[in-house]
Amino acid sequence: MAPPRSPRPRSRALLALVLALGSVVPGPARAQAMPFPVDLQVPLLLKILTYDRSFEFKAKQAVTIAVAFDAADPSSVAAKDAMIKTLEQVSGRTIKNLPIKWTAVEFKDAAGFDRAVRASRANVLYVSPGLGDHLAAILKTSRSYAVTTATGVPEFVQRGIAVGIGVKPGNKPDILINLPSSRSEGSEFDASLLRIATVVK
Amino acid sequence: MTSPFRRLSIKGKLLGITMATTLVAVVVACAAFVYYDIQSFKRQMKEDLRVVAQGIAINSTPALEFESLESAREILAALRADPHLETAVIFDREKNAVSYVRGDLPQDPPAPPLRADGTYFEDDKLRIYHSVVRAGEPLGMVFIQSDMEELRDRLGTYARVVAVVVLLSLVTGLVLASAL
Repeated sequence: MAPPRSPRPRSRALLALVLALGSVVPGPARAQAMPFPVDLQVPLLLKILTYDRSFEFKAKQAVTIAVAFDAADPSSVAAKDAMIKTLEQVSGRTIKNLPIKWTAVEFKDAAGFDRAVRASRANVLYVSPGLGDHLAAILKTSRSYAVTTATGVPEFVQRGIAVGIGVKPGNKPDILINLPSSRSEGSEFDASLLRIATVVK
Repeated sequence: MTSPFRRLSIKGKLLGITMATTLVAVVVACAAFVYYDIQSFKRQMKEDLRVVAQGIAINSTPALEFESLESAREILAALRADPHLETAVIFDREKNAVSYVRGDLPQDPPAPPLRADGTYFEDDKLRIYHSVVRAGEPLGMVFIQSDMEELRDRLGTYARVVAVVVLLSLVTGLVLASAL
């Protein structure tokens, strides 16, 4: 039997090119898809927050949701608009008897975003698609102010966002919890929730 | 025809009366004690099962709230630790169910009918129905059925103890009464 052939020089060059391209393709071009529309995410995320044992302490008087978005990315703006619209529809609801407020926060640069989040007094930060390249800055801010991050982009949870909605077999919503991140943001999710969630450790 | 009691001597009659009195007193005392203890034990059984049902309800709340009933199955699997629990079922709002059945029983029993919350001693079983509610919203129900082996074991033990106590009391009574 002939030994396996090693890749020819031309194939190797192509492979190198593909790998190089992969490393320079900007974040938004990579998978930042939301498997479920925002109006389905919101009720789930609001329920998930009720399983955070630290939430009442963190929220104190109101649940303030800051919706982070990138104005230069149409998908990000669309998600932000859908989020605001859905939050308006559930404005009468409460989380642990706390009223729900919301605000949109545009990500232009890290410093400005940090200031905007602090000024908003948000305790939940919803990260829209299109912000994949800025996750490090977003997470730095969320951890500084103990803001629970949430998203509809499963990939973001793998990269550090605390709570997300993924998809599991049967096209059903899957609760995603990034445990180290949630702890860094001061959240303490109930073990009964973690049992049914997909936990990123 | 005269009864055997009439043919006894005065001493024999006194002895017989003393023994009968002792027997009745001891049996009544034992019966009262056993009755009280069995009632306490039944209350304890109910309370223990209520705690188990409550634990199952708390742990299955997210599964019911997020409509992920299948993930509640592993919560029920923990009931294997108690050999007296025969079956347990978690119902969601649509009356879909996941169940646990003890290994020595038929594995596909019909789902029990839903009832109001409570514990019921019936058909030689102890059954509990416990609603799963979160923030006032009903999410489902937990049903658990336990056998009565513990109670039967306890009754058997009591029967043996009562027999020994009665026997000892009669012997002691006989010895003391004979010495009078």
